[in-house]
Amino acid sequence: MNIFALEKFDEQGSLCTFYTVRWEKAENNETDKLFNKYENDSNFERPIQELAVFLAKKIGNDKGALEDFFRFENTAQALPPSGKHKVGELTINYGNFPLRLYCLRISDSLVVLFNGGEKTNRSAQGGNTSMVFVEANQFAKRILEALRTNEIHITPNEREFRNFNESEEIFL
Amino acid sequence: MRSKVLQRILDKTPKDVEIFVDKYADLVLRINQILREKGYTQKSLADKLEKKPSEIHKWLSGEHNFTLRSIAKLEAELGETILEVPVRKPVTEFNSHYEKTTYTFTVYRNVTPRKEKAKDWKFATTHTELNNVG
Repeated sequence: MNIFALEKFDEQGSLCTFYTVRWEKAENNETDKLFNKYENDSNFERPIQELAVFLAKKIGNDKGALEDFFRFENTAQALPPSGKHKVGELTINYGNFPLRLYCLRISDSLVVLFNGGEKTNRSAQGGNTSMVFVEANQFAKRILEALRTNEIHITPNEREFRNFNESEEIFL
Repeated sequence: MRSKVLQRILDKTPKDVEIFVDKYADLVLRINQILREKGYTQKSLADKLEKKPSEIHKWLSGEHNFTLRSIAKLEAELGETILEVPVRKPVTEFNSHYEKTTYTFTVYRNVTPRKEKAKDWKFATTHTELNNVG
């Protein structure tokens, strides 16, 4: 797997910090790619706004990343170190919500967002987003491995990742 | 720090979208909380409501829009309030030192006034409480 940066996506909320991943030579991180893709698409204008509000306001500032907001897929449960951290999908999917966003929920206050896409299949690993789901699992696997081997660690307030030398700049 | 594209989208988001997401998320949390407290599984809830487990799964996983009817059914079965509508009591405010008075007028248009002979008032010879009652 190529090298990627683990960087902040949104830390303005009082309850939860969102991280994202960016390929070393890429201009945009994976989550920005999703938002950029649908920002000016008239078919997805409202869903992308709902997703933005759900992340930044409801989770980030009001409730935190509660488990009830995520749906965990069976195939991702094999990820190390156990079933504790899994790649999930934000369950803002009422009434056939047309988008999905994959993420790794570390705690109520720390979530890593990946990419996502349009739902063309009921399961997270199916349809148009299957490749993105596989990639999300690879990112998550590498992040969890780095946590297990102390390459990176979580700050005591559980709001940030730090490199082994306490740097905020993290490449995995 | 916040992603620029995220901030841009938030800036363009209308208020009603914010309200919808806020209430939707609260609804999901509330239902899940009650189910956990009462020890319901999706299957046991389906049995109680005489519905297919797949339908209950759709409700709870968000693949189905909640309707007022479905919320009412859940409230009835779970015995808990899920949705509460604030009721505002009517309040009349008076400015200090002034009393509020309501007058009602009836306006008749295009009606020729009847000429009535003015009542001849007579002085009462005896004074009782009913002297002024016509």
